[in-house]
Amino acid sequence: MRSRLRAAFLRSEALRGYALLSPTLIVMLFAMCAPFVILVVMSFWTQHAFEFDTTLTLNNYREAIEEPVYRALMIRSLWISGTCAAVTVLVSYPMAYYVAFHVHRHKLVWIILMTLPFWTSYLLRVFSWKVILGYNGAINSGLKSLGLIEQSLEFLLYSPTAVVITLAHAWAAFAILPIYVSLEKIDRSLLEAAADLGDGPVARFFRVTLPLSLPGVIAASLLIFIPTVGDYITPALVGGPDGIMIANLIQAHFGKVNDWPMGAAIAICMMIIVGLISVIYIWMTRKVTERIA
Amino acid sequence: MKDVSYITRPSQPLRGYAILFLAFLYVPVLFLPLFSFNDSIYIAFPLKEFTTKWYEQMFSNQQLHVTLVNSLRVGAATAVFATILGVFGAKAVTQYRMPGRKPMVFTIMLPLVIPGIIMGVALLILVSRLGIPLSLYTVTLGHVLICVPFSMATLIARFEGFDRSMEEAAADLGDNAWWTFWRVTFPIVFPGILASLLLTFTVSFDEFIMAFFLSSTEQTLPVYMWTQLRFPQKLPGVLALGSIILVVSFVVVFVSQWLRGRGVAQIPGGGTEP
Amino acid sequence: MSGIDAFISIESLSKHFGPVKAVDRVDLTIGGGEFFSLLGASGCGKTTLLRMLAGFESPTAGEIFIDNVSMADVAPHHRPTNMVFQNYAIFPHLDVRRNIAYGLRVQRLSRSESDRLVDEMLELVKLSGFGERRSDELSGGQRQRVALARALIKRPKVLLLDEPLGALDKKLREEMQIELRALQQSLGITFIFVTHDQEEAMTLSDRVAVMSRGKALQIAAPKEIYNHPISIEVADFIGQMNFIDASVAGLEDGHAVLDTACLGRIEAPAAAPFVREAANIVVAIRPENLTLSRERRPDDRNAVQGVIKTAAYLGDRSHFYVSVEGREKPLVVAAQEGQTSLGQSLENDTPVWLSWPDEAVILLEAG
Repeated sequence: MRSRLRAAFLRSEALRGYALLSPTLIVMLFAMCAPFVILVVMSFWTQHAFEFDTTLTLNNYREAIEEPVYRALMIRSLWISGTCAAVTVLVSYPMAYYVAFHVHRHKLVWIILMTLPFWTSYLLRVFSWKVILGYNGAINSGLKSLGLIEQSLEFLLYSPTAVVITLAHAWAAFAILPIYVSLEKIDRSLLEAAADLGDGPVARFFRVTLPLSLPGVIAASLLIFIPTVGDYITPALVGGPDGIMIANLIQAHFGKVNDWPMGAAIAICMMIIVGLISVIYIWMTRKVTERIA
Repeated sequence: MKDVSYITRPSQPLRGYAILFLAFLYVPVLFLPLFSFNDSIYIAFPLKEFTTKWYEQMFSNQQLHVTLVNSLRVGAATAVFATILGVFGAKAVTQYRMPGRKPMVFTIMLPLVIPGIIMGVALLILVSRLGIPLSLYTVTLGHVLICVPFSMATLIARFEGFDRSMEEAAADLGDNAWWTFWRVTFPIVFPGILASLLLTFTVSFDEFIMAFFLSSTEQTLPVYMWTQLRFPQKLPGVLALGSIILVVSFVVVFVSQWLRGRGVAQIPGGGTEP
Repeated sequence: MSGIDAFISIESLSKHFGPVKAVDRVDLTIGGGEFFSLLGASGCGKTTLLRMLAGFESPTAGEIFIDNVSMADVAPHHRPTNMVFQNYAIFPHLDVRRNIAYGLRVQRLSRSESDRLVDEMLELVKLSGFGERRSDELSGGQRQRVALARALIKRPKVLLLDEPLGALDKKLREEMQIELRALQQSLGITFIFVTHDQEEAMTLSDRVAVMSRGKALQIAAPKEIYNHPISIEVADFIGQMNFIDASVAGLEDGHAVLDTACLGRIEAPAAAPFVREAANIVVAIRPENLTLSRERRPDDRNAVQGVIKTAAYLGDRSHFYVSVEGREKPLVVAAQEGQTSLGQSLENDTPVWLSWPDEAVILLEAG
C-alpha cells in the first residue's frame, strides 16, 4: 500500500505540489477559517456579563440592522472609505505613470521609495498626522507663529476629513503598486501605433493607456476600500466623535461594552456589506470596460 | 534627452508631480523626529531648544526595555515561521502544476485584504473559546497569519526566476530532496529568504491591531506606545521611540526590497508585487 | 538620383545611442510610388532608420524631408507616414473593426462613413467577416492583415513596414509577399520595407538599400545589386558568392589581366579606380555562373579543373562543392536540375571542368 502511494506520489506533479503547499495552506486555513466560523457562530449567541447563552438567536442582527446609530456609522464608514479609495487612486495614478513610463534608470529605487512607507509602522504614520493636524499641532502652531491666524483651525483634526486625509496618506504607498504593475505591462508599441495613427498624447492616454490600466486601477481601489472600512487606528486617533467608524464600535463591544456576540454580529454585517459592494463594483467596471472604444 | 524614444520622452510636469508625491509621502512622518528633539512637552511650533533628553529618558525606561524585548521575540518567531511557510508555499505554487492553484493562492493572500479588526476579533474569539490564554504566543499566531502573504509574495517573485533544471541536475547527480534543497535551492533563493525574514519581522514589529486584541499583560512595543498616547507628558518620549523605530524599519525594509529586487529580471509585473 | 523624384529625402542622417552609431550619415532618396527596401542583418540600423522616418526616434544629426517638408519638429501623429509594426501592435481591448477604424477618429467621419471604409479595408485584406473578432482570436497572419488595414485606411503617402512577414511561416510569407506587392502597385503608395531576408527584398522591391553597421552600402535596383555589387560585404550578403584572391598583372584600355589564386590567368573589363597595376583585388563569381562538364569543352574561353567534394540536392537545383588547386575552400557551383550536360548525377571525387563567361567576373576591392 505504501509503495503504491509512493508511486502515485512520484508520478503526479499535482500531488507533490499539494503536499508541499499543505503546511502553509493548513495553517492559513486553520487560522482563518476556524476563527471565522466561530465568529459567525458567536454572532447568534447572547452575552450576560461573562456568561454566554448559546441558544441561537437573530437578536443581534436585528439590532444591528434596526439601530439607526449602527446604520449611520456603517454608512459613514463606507463613505469615508469610498472617498479615500477614490482620492488615493487619483493621486497615486500620475506617480505610478511617471515611474512606469518616464523613469529609465534606477527604477528599482523609485519603486522602493514609493512603497516603502507602507511597510513601516501604521500606528506611527497615523500618529504623525495627529501631530500635524492637531489643535496645537504643526499646521496650527506653525501658522500662528507666522502670524497668519489667531485662532487654531478647528476643522483640521477630529473630523471625517482628517480621517480621509490620513487614510489616503497611509494607503497610497500600498495602492500604487497594482496601478504601477498594470501600466508597466502595457506594450509600448501599442502607444507608438496610436501615435502613428494620429493620436496626440491626451487621446493616446484616454484611448489606450487608461483602458489597459483599468484592471490595476480596479484592484487598487478595492485594495484600499476593503481594509479601510474596518480601520480602527485612524478614526481612533484623528477621527474624534464625528469621525469614528464601524471598527471602533466593534472594538468597543469587545472591550468596555463587553457584548461579544453583538460585536461579532456587527463585524459580520460589515463584511457582508463590503463583500456585496465589491462584487457589484467589479461587475460594473467589467461592464464599462467591455464598452470602451 | 535625444537618446530616449518619443513615447517615453521625459515630462517635466510629471516629474514635478512625482517629487511632490514623494514629499507628501515622507514629510508628515518627518515631523516625528523633528519634535523628538524639541525641548518641550507640547508638540507645537515654534520650536524650542534642541535636546536629546527624550531619548535619554527613553533609554532609561525599564518597562520600555521589556516591551522592546517582547516585540523582538515575537518578531523573530513570526519571521521564521512565516518565512518557512512562505518557502513551502512559494515553491509549490511556482514549480508545480496543480489544478486549483489560483484559488489556493488567493486564499493564502486573503489576510492582506481582510480588515485587521475582523481577523483580530475572530482570532480572539477562537482562542478564548479554546481556553487558550492570551499571551505573546497568541500574538505570534496572529502575526504569522498576516505575514505569510507578505512572505509568499516576496518568495514567489524569487522562485519564479528559478531554473528548475538545476534541481533536476542535482537529483540526477544523486541528491535526494533534502540535500537538493540545501545544496541547490536554498543558496539561490537565499536573498529572497533574507528579504522575507526582514520584511515579516518588520511587519510584525510594527503591527498594532492584532497585538492589541491578542495580548494581555505582556505587551508589544506598538501596544505600549498606544497606552502611552494618553499621557501628554509621555508624548515626546513616544516620538523619540517612534523616530528610532521608523529609521530602523525604513533601513531594514529598504534593504529587504533591494535584495528582493536584485537578480530578479525586469519582467513586466515580475518582482514588483508586494 | 536621376529619374527618381525625391519624394522622401534623407540627408546625412545619423542616430547615436551613447557611443553606438546605430545610423551613420545615411543619404537616401526615395521616389513616390516606389517599393523601397532597407535590407541588412540585425543591428545594421534599418529599423532605427525606419523609426526616425515615423518620428519615434529623433535624429542626432541630419534631416528628413517628406514631400519637400522637413520632418524636424513634426511629432509622429502629424506625419504623413503610417507604420506596420513588427509585432503588429493590435490593440487588445478593441475588436478588429475598432482597431482598423482607430486612426479615423481625427477625421471626424460619420458612423456610416467610417463603417463603409472599414468594410472596404476588410475586403482589401481579405478579412471580411472577421470584424467582431479580438486580437487573441486571430492567427499571426490575420493580425498582420489587420495591422496593414489599420495603417492603409488612413491613405498615407508613405507606408512603413517593419519586418512585417518575419513571424510567418515560409509558405504564408511567400503568399503575403505577392499580395503586398500587388497591393502596393494598385494603391500607388510609397512602401518602405525593412527586412533581413535578402530574397524577400530582391523579389519585392523597386530599389534596395543594403545596410550594415549604420551605413548604407549600396542603393540600387535588385538586379544591379545582384550582378554588380560594389563591395565584398554587399556581394557576400546577397545570394551566394565565390570569392577568389587575385592580383592585377596587366591593365590596358579598360581591360585587366588578372592572376588568380585558382582560376589561372583571366581577363575582365575593369573601370574601377582600385584596379591598378600590381594591385591585390578580389574576383567574385556567382555559383550559377559556373558550369560543370566532364571534359573541357572547346568553346569555353575560361576553364579550370577540379574535383567534386560534396553535393547538396535542393530539389529544383543542386549545389556542388568543387575543390580546385590553389584554394582551400571549395568553389560553390549551382546547377539547375536538367541543366548539367553530364547525363547522370555526379558523385564525390569525380574530376570535372568548371567554366564561366567573361561577363560573370565581378571585380571587388580587397577587404
